[in-house]
Amino acid sequence: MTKAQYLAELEMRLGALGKEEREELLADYEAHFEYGRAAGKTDEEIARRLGPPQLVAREILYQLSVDRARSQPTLRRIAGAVFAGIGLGVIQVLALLVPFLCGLLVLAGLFAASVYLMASPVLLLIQDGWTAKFFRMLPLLAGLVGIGLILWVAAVKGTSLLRKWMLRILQTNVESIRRKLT
Amino acid sequence: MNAQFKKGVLELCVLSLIARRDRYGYELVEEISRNFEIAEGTIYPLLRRLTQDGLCTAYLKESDEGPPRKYYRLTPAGLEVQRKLLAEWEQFVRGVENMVKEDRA
Repeated sequence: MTKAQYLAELEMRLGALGKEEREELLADYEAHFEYGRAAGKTDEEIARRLGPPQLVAREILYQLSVDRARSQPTLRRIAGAVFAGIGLGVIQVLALLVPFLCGLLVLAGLFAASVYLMASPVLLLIQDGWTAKFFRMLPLLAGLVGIGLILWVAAVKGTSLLRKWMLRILQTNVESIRRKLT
Repeated sequence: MNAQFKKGVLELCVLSLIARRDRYGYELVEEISRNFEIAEGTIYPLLRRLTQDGLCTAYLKESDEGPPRKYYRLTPAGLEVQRKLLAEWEQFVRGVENMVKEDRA
């Protein structure tokens, strides 16, 4: 494989990189060939010692996906790294999904119960209309609405806790991907 | 040698080499390749990561022969990481030695 072939193959496989980044890296490999030639090596030999361009490109792209997730942990980038990690067998899918889904279920239950309790006076009205019974039950209804409010606050708090917790699990996993890849 | 293990050690080697003096990419690759069997092309992404993580800085210097050389210089943060990795490495080697020697005795 000649220098031109090697660089072309590498460039083709690094399409996912930004232009500047790609050119910078390609310049590194180009300079490597130049210095190898100056030291009296053939292109063939230099290319063989560099390793197949496919391997080198894979290394660079893994690095990139993890770097992106680390520098700006947006959900999309985290997801990208998570899927890369799942592909590599780094992340235990169940260990991540099970607590997440359970958390979601509990929160959904809390929200539903809270809405139901808060709506209970209206529901009773719809059912029975304005009766004396409704006024007798006012204190109880006020209590139910109060409990509903408390549940609501708990559910909101729980949502933010779940989000933070999931981010932390992902962070740990991204770290472990990084260690695994570098 | 396990590939994963070699990669961790590789980082220690690169940091240690540039801790002694600034070196340019090709020089580093040659030096490492003399000691390890490695796909040389995988060293450049590592150098890029170390630079991005602020463990070293890169600067260009004209050269009489061939293209300008990209030199790498260790930063204080890089030195810290190098010391940490070296300590881990030494601990690892001691552990292995303990077991190997007791085995022989």
